[in-house]
Amino acid sequence: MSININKYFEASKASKMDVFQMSYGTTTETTVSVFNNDVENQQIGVASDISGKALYQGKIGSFSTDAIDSKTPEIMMQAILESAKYGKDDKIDNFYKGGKKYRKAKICFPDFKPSSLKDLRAFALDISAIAQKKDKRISKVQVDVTMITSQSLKANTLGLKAKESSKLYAGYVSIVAENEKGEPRSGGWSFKSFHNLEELKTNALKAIDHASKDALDFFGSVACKGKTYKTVLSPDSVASLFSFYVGQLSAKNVQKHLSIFEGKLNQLIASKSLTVLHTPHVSSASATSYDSEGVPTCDFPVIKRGVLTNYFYSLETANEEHIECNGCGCGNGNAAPITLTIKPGHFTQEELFAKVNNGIFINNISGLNSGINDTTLDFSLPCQGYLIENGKLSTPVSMIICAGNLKDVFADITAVGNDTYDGSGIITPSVVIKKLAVSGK
Amino acid sequence: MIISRKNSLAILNAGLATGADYAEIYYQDNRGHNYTRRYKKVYSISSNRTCGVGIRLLQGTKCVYGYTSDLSTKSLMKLAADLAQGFEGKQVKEVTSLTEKKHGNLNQIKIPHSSWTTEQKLAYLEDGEKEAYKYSDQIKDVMARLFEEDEHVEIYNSDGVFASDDRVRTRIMSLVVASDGKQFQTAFEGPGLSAGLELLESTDYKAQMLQCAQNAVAMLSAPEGPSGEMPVVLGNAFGGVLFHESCGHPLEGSAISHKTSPFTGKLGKTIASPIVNAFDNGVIENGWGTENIDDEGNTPSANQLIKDGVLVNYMLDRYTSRRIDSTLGSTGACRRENYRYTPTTRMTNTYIGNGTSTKDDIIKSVKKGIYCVGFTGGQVDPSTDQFIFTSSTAYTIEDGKIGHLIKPVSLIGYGYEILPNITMIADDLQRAPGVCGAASGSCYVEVGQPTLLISKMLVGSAGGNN
Repeated sequence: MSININKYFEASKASKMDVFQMSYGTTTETTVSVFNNDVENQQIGVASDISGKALYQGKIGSFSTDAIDSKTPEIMMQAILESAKYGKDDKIDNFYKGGKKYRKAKICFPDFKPSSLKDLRAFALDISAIAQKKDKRISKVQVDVTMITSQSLKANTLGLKAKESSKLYAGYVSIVAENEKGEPRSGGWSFKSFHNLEELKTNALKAIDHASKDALDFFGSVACKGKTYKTVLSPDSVASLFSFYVGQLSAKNVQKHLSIFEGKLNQLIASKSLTVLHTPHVSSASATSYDSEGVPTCDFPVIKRGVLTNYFYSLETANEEHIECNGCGCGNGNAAPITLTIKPGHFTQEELFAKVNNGIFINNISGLNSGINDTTLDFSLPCQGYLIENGKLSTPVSMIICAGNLKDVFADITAVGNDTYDGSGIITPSVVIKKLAVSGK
Repeated sequence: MIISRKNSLAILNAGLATGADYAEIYYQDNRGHNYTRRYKKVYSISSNRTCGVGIRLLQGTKCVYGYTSDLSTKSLMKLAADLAQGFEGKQVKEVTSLTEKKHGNLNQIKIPHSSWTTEQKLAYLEDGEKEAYKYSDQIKDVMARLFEEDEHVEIYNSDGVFASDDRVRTRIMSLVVASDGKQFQTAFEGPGLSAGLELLESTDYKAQMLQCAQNAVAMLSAPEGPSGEMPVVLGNAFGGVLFHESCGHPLEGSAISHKTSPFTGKLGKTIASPIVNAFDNGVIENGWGTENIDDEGNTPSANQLIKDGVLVNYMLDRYTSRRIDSTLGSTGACRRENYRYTPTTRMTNTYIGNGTSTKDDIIKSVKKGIYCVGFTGGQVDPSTDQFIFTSSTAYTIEDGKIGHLIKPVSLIGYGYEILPNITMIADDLQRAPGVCGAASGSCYVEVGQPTLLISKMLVGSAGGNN
């Protein structure tokens, strides 16, 4: 990493800033996109960005840029002073002074084997060909494979200095299948590896299985009868829903009286079957050893057998309550979890279907960008899945909408599966929900 | 010219060295400012600059793309040479000169962002904020935000064209949260234009805030709505998100060229009710999605997509038109969030045109259904054309009259099934700004429509079928 921190620190001192903090990152990515066994796009990129924030006369100013040259320190200080003039009131305690040890997140391994553009091209073509051969009805396959390496640095004039590196392969396979009537059905699934293309291929093959099943199983599927169902939610569906639920556990929302979980610490807020752990160092793309304020991230229970045990704190919100920050700062005094793990249970997915006996299995939820209100936790989302009859999966159903409030969904869990899925920072099993409203026919 | 003529020619020719038939440099310098009040005080004032270069090479229907934030000539030459390794041939084209492309200015700016002091901007926000809190003690949080963006882009390409554009955008947003102690409800409004601070002068921000406050409080006592298949009246303006999701995305060149769109090969065929006329109009003055040139330097167009129910055009860029039929050319709708994204066809200002009915006619024609007037956005799977969008403010319709407010509902369907089911269109077209996320990142788009009736649509609410 080539950045002279001292130049920025000196410029901040010359501008009479009380504290100056900077973050610098460089990301290199190589991506290959294959459509129907044809290399359509190859992309290489390297970009750096730097952001700074400072306390100046009791107010916060900030600026970020990817135009980095010898003039950047001066430009940055001017911009920060301008925004601090009328900025948010803040104090020096809301900056981390460093000193604690960082536990390494499992996102950069010494055995990571980089690949050339040519290797990635061959890999993506191989995966595309395998997917294409999976079933005669598969008409279109798109495979995107990316190798991303990144380095980041965070430092401030109080003594904070933290560094992190990440090396990762990530991919996505999307499949369109058509039946004899030309009716299309689609499926898509992501895959990743922190090590090499061999592991990536193993995971890509699993992704093909998922994506093709999602496409092929749903020919001729129609909406089921609209009513309240006993429901099994697939791990990825749980991850999608839980990512909105946890926003209400931010200490900022609680302190501003904007959380339905205000005053609920050490009280039962969810099903006794639900235990959620903050696990910021696991091998997940979102894992990190320090939060956006440079505070070391740490393990802690969030919900233990349904009882709320911790909110997520930034320095500002922790100082407000005179408690220790748990390393969940995500900018501007807000807080959010890094990576969460919902503790798996003992049941296989088949055993969960048997427990439900008659109900519905939802294995795909979409419309998340508009169908959930993260303040009210009300949701209304299109989904697809299978009816469960006599304890087994039966008819596939689609064009249905599940709706309710997430508080009720996670209070109504009656059983937890032993399967797991890493859904962008939330590692979850399948769960059984006592009742869920489904709109259909 | 940020990159000198000599250097830009050298970079383009380095890209063309191994057989690419087209090379392009995209330079972007984007400066954004956000002023936010929340919790009854200044919440943040932040500024950012996004500046970098993307280089694209095409060889027939193959594309290689690279980007960098290092703007040194050495870095750009290396990037072009690295990208050229994506092809294995001999040079077939050389560029020797660049001629500046002239264009008019669709986005005249009356009041530049620099004309108001920070103090004035914050006072404007505070005035609106007070109005919301004044309405009810059930108002628990108000976010008042001013977004400003000043962007300069330059495009240099191997057809010998140099083009540049200055893009100024302003948006003024309100988010209000109400609570009765048992639940929270929210309301949002956010008008925006490709314009300067004249937007603030033409917006009654206090009225906008008051409306949000009224909507959020009213929603606290609203019951769950009905579910199942029923007639749906979609209000004008942001109701156009229906067309954006169900038809706009599947008519973008990427979906058409991959033959994943249900509208592939349907040019000249009836795909909608004969009363439907639809446009992607990139030349609306000061439109939120209007740019003087697109991100590959082409001129935007007033592109009619559907005429009297018949599909008459797609939205295309240079690359997707090559994949479909190179004689089709570009419709001037190639866009990207920033230089880190490969550009592709994206919507600009997309809307359904006026019909001949009135809003009252439409409401009167519905015996039992819902009337949706507020929307939070949507999503589509372009390969199946299944879409969803959420109505944040909706009312029941009973016996031809607007009934009571209901809690937010979702509407889903297949675009190709919905378009023929548009049975009445009013004469009250309005457009509204939004941000659309897709392959080339988040782009500013307008959606729009008059009030219209869809004879049947699947509606979902937390009440389930009832």
